[in-house]
Amino acid sequence: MDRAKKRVGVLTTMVLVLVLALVGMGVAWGVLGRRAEAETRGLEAKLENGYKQNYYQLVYNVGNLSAYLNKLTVASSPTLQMQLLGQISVESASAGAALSALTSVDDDARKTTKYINQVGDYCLRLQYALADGGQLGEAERDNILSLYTVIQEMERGLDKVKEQVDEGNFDFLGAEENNVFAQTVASFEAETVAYPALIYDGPFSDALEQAEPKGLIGEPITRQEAEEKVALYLPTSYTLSYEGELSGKIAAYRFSANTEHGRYYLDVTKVGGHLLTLIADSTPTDTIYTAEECSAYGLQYLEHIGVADMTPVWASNYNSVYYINYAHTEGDVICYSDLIVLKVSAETKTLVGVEARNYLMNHRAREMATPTVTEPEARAAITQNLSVDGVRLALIPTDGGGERLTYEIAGTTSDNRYFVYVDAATGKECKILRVIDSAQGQLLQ
Amino acid sequence: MNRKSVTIALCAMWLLMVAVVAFAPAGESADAAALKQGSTGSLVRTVQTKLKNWGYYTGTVDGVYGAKTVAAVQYFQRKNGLTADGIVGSATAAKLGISLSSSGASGYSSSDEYLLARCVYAEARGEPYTGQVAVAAVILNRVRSSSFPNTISGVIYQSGAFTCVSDGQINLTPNETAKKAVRDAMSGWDPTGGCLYYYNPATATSKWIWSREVHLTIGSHSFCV
Repeated sequence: MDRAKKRVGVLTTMVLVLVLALVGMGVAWGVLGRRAEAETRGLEAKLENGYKQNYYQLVYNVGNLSAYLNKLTVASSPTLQMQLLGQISVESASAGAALSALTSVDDDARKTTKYINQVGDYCLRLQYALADGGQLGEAERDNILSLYTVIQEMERGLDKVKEQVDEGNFDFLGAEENNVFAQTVASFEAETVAYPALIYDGPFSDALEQAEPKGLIGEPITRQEAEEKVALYLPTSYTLSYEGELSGKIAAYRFSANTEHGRYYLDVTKVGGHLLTLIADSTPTDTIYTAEECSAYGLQYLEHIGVADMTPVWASNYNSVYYINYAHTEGDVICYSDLIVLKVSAETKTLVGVEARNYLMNHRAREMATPTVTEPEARAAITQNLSVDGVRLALIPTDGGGERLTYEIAGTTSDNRYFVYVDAATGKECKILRVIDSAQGQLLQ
Repeated sequence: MNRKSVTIALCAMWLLMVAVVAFAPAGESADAAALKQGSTGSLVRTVQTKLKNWGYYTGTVDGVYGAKTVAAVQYFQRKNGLTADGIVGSATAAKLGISLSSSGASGYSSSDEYLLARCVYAEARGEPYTGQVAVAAVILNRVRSSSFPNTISGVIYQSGAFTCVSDGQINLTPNETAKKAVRDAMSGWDPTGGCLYYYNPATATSKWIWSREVHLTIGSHSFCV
């Protein structure tokens, strides 16, 4: 009897403990679960707020762009025009950042992004032109009007989303596919939107995309002939494999070559059989040869492959590899657009890389203008605080793919080294480069 | 902060590094990462200040690496068990507590270069070397394109752009190969011939990407415009 009682007692205790444990676990579960839920909600809210912040930023910037472009269509004084153009480029940069935070690569907002970037870039160039004493002509005014028409459409599109966002009926995070924002962006991408094609001197000019290679002289060659060309380009023994074709503006045959120095990849152009690119995964560990020795070796190599009249213009050492830039020289003028970069191992003085795309895109026989400004005039046009160590004529590329004949004046102040460029036709200072020290050697900024 | 001006500066930077890199008289000293006799500038000033504060240098802090600076550097190197060659290379710089990259001139080139190397390592470490240069080149092509964000960080962190960003692999430490590949791409090498996209045909799930025109294949990646 006692034993039975005892057993019941033990059983009751066990059940009680179990129940208590279960209740405890349940409570803990509930508390922790709610905490986790709260955390998730907090994170979601943060993300959603980030989207909304960018969305309102975009609406604000697009509204301002619209207002400034509109005012620009009626502004007549260069001073006010310049102010508006400057404000437009600032608004465009901010709008671009907000848009890229709201869209993904897959959303394909490329046309919208391009338009917003171009508005800023184009207006910045117009501002430069006005600052240089220019005026807004008929063509520029037409472009501004087309840009304004497009921005109005975007403004209207964003307004549709705004109604829903304002009323709290739209979550970017919870939005299904083809939501109102995605639809709006898609409508900006439609064929019917009349984006103007802008040809001007800036990095986002349509002219750059349309540029064709000028230095690709010669006849189309076969893969067999390209293989034979490799013997000229690779001054060592090798076993060759064909790796396929490279299409695009400069089409090429690609080969890989196993050599005693490792594996090389070469692109030989289908037209003319020029060497486009050579890449080797080299791992030199020591700097034995000087920059001068390696750049002289590189010059010999360029002559060997049939590229004449090149001058080494810059070299930097990175991980015991010299990156040496050679520019074409026409008479006494350095043509910086016609550039070939060679990589030479500082340990073995052997070639480990060639990049000739810029040369093949730009090199041609040029009608070189005669400078109307003299060297002393050019020197007088720049700061007298620079102690000058060299002056020479240089044809420099402009942002939009053009070229400009300049005097290149190299000099130092007490702290820095600079290259100052003076337009050889107008005598105006037009560009300054500063030499900066970095872990990657000296770079220009 | 006017982002565009940064953007333009960056664009100018690419243009320089890619199309022009630099305009210096031929025969210019090239081993620039190290400081040695004849070097000038703010970094030399920093070295002189440090050596002076620690009692190694007695000359004036003038930013010119002269014979006195050489002697002071050698003295410092001997005291610190370094080769006493009088040149501030990476080892001596580390002992001095300076970074040869911190010229105070511009931080963005190094930090962007490192971010790019992280992305290349995370995206393409199993690929052949030329395939790693190609991935770096695609990112730089996007920076230059008007249809994408205008900075390296903008392109890399754009939503949906790179899987390594969403799965966190971008935070891995890049190896030397990835860094070299980035240096090549920043110096103008572009094995893709101007491509803006790449995908792995074996794993790509986006239907859209298949509609792009493929320019070439390197390793397991197809590159397209």
